Amino acid sequence: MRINILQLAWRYAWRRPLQSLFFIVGIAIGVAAVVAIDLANSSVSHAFSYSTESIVGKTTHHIAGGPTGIDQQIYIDLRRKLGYQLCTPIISAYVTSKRLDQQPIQLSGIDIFSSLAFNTDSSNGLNSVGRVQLSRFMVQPNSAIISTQFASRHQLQINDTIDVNFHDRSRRVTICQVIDVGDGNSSVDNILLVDISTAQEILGEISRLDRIDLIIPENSARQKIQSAVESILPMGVRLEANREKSGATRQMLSAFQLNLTALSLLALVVGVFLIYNTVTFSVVQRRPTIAILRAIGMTRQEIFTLILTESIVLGAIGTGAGLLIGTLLGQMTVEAMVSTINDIFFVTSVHQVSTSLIVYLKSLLIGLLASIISAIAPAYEATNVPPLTALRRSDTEEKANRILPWVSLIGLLILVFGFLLLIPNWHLVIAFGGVFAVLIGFALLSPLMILIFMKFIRPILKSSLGLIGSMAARDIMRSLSRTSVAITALMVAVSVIIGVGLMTSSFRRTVQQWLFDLLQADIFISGPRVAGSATTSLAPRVVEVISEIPSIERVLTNREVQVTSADVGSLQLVAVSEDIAGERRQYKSAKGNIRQTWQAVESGGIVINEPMAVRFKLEVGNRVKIFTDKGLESFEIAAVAYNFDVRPVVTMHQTTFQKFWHDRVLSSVALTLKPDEQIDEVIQQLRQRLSGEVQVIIQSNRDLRQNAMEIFDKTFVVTRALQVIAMAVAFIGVLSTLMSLQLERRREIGLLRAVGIDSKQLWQLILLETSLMGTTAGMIAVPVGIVLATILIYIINLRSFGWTLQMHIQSTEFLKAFVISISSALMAGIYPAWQLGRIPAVDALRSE
Amino acid sequence: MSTANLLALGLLPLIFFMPFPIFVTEDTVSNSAVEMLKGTVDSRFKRATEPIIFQFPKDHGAHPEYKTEWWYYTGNLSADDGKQYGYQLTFFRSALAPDTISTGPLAERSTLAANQMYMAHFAVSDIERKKFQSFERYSRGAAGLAGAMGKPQYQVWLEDWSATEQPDGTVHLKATDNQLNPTLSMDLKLRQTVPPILHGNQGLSQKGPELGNANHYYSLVGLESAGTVKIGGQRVEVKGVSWMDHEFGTSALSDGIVGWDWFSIQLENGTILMLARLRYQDGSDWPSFEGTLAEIGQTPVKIQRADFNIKETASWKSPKSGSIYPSGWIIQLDRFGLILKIQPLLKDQELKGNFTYWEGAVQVKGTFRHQTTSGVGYVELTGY
Repeated sequence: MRINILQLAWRYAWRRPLQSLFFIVGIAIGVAAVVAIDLANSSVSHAFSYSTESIVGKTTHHIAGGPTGIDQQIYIDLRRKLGYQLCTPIISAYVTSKRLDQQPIQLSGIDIFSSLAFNTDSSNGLNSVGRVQLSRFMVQPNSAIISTQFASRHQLQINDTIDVNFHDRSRRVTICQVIDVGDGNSSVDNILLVDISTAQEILGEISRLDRIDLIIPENSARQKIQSAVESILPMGVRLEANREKSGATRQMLSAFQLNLTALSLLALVVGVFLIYNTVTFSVVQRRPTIAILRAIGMTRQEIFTLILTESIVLGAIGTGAGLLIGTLLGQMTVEAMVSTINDIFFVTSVHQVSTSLIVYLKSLLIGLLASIISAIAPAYEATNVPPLTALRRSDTEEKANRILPWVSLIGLLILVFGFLLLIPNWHLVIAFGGVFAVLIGFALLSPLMILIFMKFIRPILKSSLGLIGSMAARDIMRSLSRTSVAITALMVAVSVIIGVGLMTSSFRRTVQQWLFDLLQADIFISGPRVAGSATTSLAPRVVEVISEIPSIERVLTNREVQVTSADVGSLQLVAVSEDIAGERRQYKSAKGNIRQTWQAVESGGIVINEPMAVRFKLEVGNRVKIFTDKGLESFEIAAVAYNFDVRPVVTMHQTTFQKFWHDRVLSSVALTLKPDEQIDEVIQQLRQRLSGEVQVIIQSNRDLRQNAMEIFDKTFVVTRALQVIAMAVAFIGVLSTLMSLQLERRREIGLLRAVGIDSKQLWQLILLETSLMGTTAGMIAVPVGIVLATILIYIINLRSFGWTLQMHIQSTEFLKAFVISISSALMAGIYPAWQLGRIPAVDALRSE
Repeated sequence: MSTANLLALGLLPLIFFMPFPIFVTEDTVSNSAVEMLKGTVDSRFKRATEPIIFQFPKDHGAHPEYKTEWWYYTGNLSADDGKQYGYQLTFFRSALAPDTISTGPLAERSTLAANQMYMAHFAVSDIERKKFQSFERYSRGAAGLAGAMGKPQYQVWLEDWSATEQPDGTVHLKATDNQLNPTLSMDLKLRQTVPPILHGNQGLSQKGPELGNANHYYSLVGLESAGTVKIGGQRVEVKGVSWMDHEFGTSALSDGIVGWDWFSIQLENGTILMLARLRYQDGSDWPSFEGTLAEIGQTPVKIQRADFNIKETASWKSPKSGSIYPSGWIIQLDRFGLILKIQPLLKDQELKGNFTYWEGAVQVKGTFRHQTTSGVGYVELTGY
């Protein structure tokens, strides 16, 4: 019997290829979205652990200092005085080279002897393979080792030279060895590995180290070792546990990843709706067949198995296709995500998707479970009616009407529950749970809303379009069990599109406005910025040149460095000579008005950014402890500023900075011109005077804003891609649903034809019905979408990243949603209308 | 010839030519010292072709014009309660290049830039508890991390392992596996009692037939040693006798040699004996080897290969490496009326760092000019 069931299922699927296709496509798209995002997420996580744990794997602690690093003598003391073996000096910087397409490349300076203890057993690093020719690597100046992958990517060979630039220095580096590090070891396959002394010479940081990595095993001696190490550290240098440093970024990144995962799950939810729909239809359509099968002696269980088998088979095909498409999409997603992460988190060099079995297994399970779960209810329903009633359709509708109040009540409860989940500031996962609950609640409330809407619109349609209008509305009400599912699926998809779209566009508008307020100077000059590296520096020559140009009115200077705080961990410190936003600065909260606040900053206070305030629950008047070159100092928060850097940012006055740090370098300067001076002309002058000597980036106010917005748009590539996926799912979903719905009406249409409806009227009726359904979905989706956007903007974004966004209701987003719902609804009507219009009434009436 | 000699001859070139730490030649992988030693000698380094006049303490320091150099301390110690210990503390220097090539102005040079690398081995044999522990370290010879000097005070060190001359003329040896959380540490003072012994031809010790395939080699023997050993959480006062070898040169192992057995013996009456076999595959050994026999108050005597006969009396298979080492010898020097029965104080004294070899404390019994005698010593076995 099993084989027969399979055969039956297969034959049925085969006889309705379109429906089966939609089923497969629905699952495939949902699964593909999940796979793609998951793969990208896991690749990014890999990249993250590599970039924070650098090329050495077992580090537990590190010794770090201020922006200029630490003295190498600390390392020597650590080894000679304390004899501590598990420590290794590191210099790491991003350099660029024309030969390497100007992409940031990590230059890592290591001590090969002491770094060996840090390699994990499985690591296959450049320094661990035991193939390093010390006589070249350590002895010949400016020698670097690269991986074979790196070499082939840039067509490099042993003894080739590369001119690398670091800030305003340029050095010729010779490739002394090319080492195979194996596939997928992206931690080292994009690195210029050099001896620690070579790194000092290339970067011009003689006798300085970036940091010292340590392993301090977790045993009884840990405390003793820590205090011994700390005892030899000079002021301004400290021992930190690794997780403290990477913690903040890790947190941010997981928020970013969680957001994407949630969006991909949303795509799947829409997919599940679609599948539920498809399966329901295939069951409903076959009610007579099922009744006959029952009548000829098939048991309930067999029929249940039949329907489930069918769903599993189609679901498996869809899942398989989804895995395939998802893997391909994953590559694109990784690229989009990497560019985002390079811009806002850290430089990574992920080139490949790291495919993991777990991702595939998970997605496989999700795909199959989704098909089974969405099939269970209809299958159960189909098998639990006596054969006789199964043949009567009115029975289903009666039942639907009976349970409608219950469904609505449950919907309301879930909705309320969802909102409750969103109120307290719990874990983000719970907040997303709340979002889903809200969405499901609205979905369950949809049938009621549809009913109300139809009752309301029927008289209007009747008076404007006559009988056909009235019939269309009544038809939808009458077969609510099916129409509501279709409309709801469409509504869910469209509301997600609206919600995400509104969130993105609001975000964009807010950032645009913020940049406009912030960038009040005319020209901005900075050193060549290497993405992800904390700092840039301007050659002193630049400042000289600037002071020679007469048309400049004011020069605002800025120093940006990475420092560590005792309470917050790693943060960006910006030391400014003046507030660039001036009077236009808007604080989220501040000590007083703009002037008073600035006075507080001038006398030693700091301004922190909103993400930092939100994440660490800091308020104006609190103090932040920061490690300075003169030891641990605490600074009072004078204001919390709006800022869209995900990292914690502290702004202080230049004099405060110079009081506590020995650093006198500038990162960038901003210029305001005297009235009537032409920005472009001054830029031209600056470029001429600085040409050939130093590398600087000179940008006008307008260019800078444009660049910032480009970066912004890049970061939303993935979000937009998900929006497109949701749209595709919605479109296909509604198309398949409505088409099935109409095709199923063969008998009814036959009857209508028999009583005299002509083919033009039939077209009108069908198209009116589908567009009515599309409009209904769109209308319900608008408020739901706004609610979703509100939650995303004011709860999810704020809690994930600490950004306050201004909500901008943009009509284009609604328009987009309406176009999708109505156009897909109309298109869904065309084929059935054409098909049903062709059949003679007699054929349509003839019973099976 | 000393233990160190051949060992370092084998090891250091390895490190220099080869990969690190697994030594890979063009097509082979090996951690055998001997395999690696064969090859051409870098002509940019000075070679030991004729005897030099040693000047102390200057010549206790480093000789970077030669490619390899080592300072090799071994000793036999005992506590008041009679418990015996053996130790080895060895520093190796290997030049990666004759001179560091300068890139630019001095201000742009990193002081971490190094063309010297140092390796050190530290091992202690606890005879009573039958426990042998060994440790290995590497460092660049720059910025004070590792180095050696003869003046103003003799000093050789690798990080916190060191041999340092004290104002009173004694040499202070210090080593520990982990200063901040030690399981093994040693702190000894060594007092020189006799003048340095020059091996071979006035300190020019030939390692093969070729000219320049030799090292400058002298030993400090009969070093009165006293101090403490901290082992297994227990601090033990120890006393005993140590032996120090210092060699430098630019030599290579001759063709066909597969390993060596080296002996340093100190008898109770102060007589010392150094000899070795450089073994070929067929069991024979290099016939031109020269050892040294020195009696208190007398000029040391050169021992030719024909003067001694070595018979292996036992063997031991290492459970770690699977190598089978000889583990007991009878050495006969008929010309001097000397017969010595040599036995390891502990069977397992195999070092398993990046190079596997056996280096251990031994006890000696025998007759010298018809009188019974006894003593202690160290034996080194490679190529097994």
